[in-house]
Amino acid sequence: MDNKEFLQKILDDRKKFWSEEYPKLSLEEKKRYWLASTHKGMRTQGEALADEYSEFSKKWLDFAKANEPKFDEIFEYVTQNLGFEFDWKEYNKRIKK
Amino acid sequence: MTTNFLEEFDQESQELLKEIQFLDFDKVFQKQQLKENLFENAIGNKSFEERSNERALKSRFGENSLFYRDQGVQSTFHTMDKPNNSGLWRYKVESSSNASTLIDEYKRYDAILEQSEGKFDEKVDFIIFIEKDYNVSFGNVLLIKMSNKMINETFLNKDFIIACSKQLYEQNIEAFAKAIDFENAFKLEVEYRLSKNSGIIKSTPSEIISSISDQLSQKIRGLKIDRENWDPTLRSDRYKGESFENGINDAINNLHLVKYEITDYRKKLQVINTVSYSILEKPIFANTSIVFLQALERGIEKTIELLSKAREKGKASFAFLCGIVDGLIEFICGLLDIVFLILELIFSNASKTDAELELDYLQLREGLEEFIEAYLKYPDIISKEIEKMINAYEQARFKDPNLTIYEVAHNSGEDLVFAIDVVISLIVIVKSIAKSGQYLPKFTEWIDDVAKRGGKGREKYNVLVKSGRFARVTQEVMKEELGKDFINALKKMGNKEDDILEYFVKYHNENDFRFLNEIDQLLVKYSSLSKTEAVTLWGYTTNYFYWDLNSWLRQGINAHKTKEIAEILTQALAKMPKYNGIAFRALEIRPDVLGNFLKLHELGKVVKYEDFVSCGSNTKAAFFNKPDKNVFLRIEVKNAPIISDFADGIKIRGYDKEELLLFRGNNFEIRSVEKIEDNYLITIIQK
Repeated sequence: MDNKEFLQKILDDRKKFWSEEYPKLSLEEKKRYWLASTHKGMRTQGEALADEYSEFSKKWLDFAKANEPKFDEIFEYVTQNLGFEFDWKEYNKRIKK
Repeated sequence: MTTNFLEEFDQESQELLKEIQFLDFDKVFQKQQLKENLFENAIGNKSFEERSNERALKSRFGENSLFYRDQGVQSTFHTMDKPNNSGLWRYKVESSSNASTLIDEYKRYDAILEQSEGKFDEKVDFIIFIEKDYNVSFGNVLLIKMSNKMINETFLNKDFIIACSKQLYEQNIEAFAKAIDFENAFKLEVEYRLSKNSGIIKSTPSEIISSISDQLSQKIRGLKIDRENWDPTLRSDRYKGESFENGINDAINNLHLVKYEITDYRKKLQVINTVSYSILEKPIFANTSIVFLQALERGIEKTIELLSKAREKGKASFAFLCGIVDGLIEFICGLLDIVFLILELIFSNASKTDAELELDYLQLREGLEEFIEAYLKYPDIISKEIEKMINAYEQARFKDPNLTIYEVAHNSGEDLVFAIDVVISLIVIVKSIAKSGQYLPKFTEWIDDVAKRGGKGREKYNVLVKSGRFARVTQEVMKEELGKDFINALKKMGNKEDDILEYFVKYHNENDFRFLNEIDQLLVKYSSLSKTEAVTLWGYTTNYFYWDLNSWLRQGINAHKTKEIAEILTQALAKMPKYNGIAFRALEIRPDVLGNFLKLHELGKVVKYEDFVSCGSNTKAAFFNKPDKNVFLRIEVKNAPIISDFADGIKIRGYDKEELLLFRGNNFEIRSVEKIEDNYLITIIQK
């Protein structure tokens, strides 16, 4: 598989995950997924770009809400279990852009 | 009472008076100076009277001197009404011009008071010591010695002292004495007698707390619903489940009684707290306890509301609800026992004399305070869980062939209360104290009993209690475990020691006590690793210091701040197992900074990562499926340390394995950059 094909596979797998795998998850599994992916995302953004909250954007929120009707409930759980104080002020700034 | 009164006298008087040491009531009323020797300090080797008489006899006036006084003590008897015609307080007034005699009498054991019952009888209930007025008055002694009965009354009725003082003032026992003087004398007596516990009065605040607390626990535990009430197989006349409505009303009634008892106790505690105020630490904890008890009362009310809405689902479900009530009662009693134990220790000052007890006490207090903090923050925390339990009856039961289905149902209810997170956290703390069975016998008996059964509570309990030697820890324990090198390295980064300890204590306590216990286990698995290296590595994966560290390393600034921590981390990474292959990293880079990033990662360029870079060993571990990621790094790594065993993300937040953390300072060559729409794949090879 060449590089282009590999990138295409990444994008296809992502699409498949959201259209086929994610909807089949139970609420508990969804909570676990969002907790782990948000935590990892914030950490990687923090390491690479010194900006943990660059993990969040309007585009990200729109996608999340479109794919998860209980997103607010799930995200409440996520923020309570990240292991640090979630900065809602910073978050709210990011999700407007 | 001030002592700068000499200028008001003529010269002869001033000469006679200026060497005399007087009892200073300002000091007496300073609560922190309430020690027996205060009186000795004030009166010196000789009493004022003795000194005064010595001077007077040496003067040309002899016994006719204004300052010569007869040293005899005169006694008179009086009575004072009790409220609502409930009896009489009989009291004796002992007056003398000799203050030191009065003070000695005041401090002395007095058998007469031991008989006091506070009824319509001839027994003396309290004694007032009054220094007889002088022609020249400059601070008279007024002391009151109270019987046990009377001291107890001050705890039961917060207005008692004021009411008595008013009556005494109205009876005009001594012209100089105002109501406030009696009030101060009563307060002084309560303080003095209870803090010294000398003489006849045996009831210290600790004993009073203990006495009302013991009764309370006993009473509340007595409200548990025994098996005959909920297990029809016993064929008892007392079985209540035939009519669900009546049975549940009985259970609710028991909870009403529990609440009533707690309210009554809380009110008594408020009185004790108002009257006795000398021990510095006490008011804070006592105030907290009062607020907590009020919240607990409201919590019980909520549970009562929930139970009143419960619908009948058969006889086993009735037994199940009784189990919830019993579990709740046991837990409340356990909580109260801890509150009582701490209050008792605080009031008795016992913790100052026994180091082991002090440590246990501190641990219990911290655990309780955390529970109270959580409870006050979310007062519905338990009632919400109980609501879930009522609705989850079918899932709650577990199998036990040795028990009737009703016993299983009842135990399941109790077990669910036991398994509530905040409940079991406190239980773990209690069980982590070696002498918990001695301090809290009933509570630990219940814990052991429930933990032996087959429910969810046992599973949780086993995970928590058997996971290691550290349950809830204090800053002192954390300081010891983190070690000075790690703490100093973080301090070098500009962190304060208190903040460091607070963060890691919270981290350990709020994550099922895993941090220190798993570090313990990891030190066995990674035998070449020092504890400093282990906590540094795990610490890096929390969010405490990685951000500053990486940011400074990447920018090449604050090298003096990062030197120590980076060195320890590098040593630790060297001891980790290694991964050779492809690693992955997904980033979201905004369009306005994407250009710069791509420029740094142009095809053929070599980039040096000065910071510690983490990545996953597969695309799942790197969350390539996240919708917002637009830059995917595929990195061929050599000897990349695998830190999964130490990674907060994997152990606590649910990442997939493996987590890699690359050594800093490696060079990477950009081998390809691919783009599809706005997404980039950058392939990099470690040089």
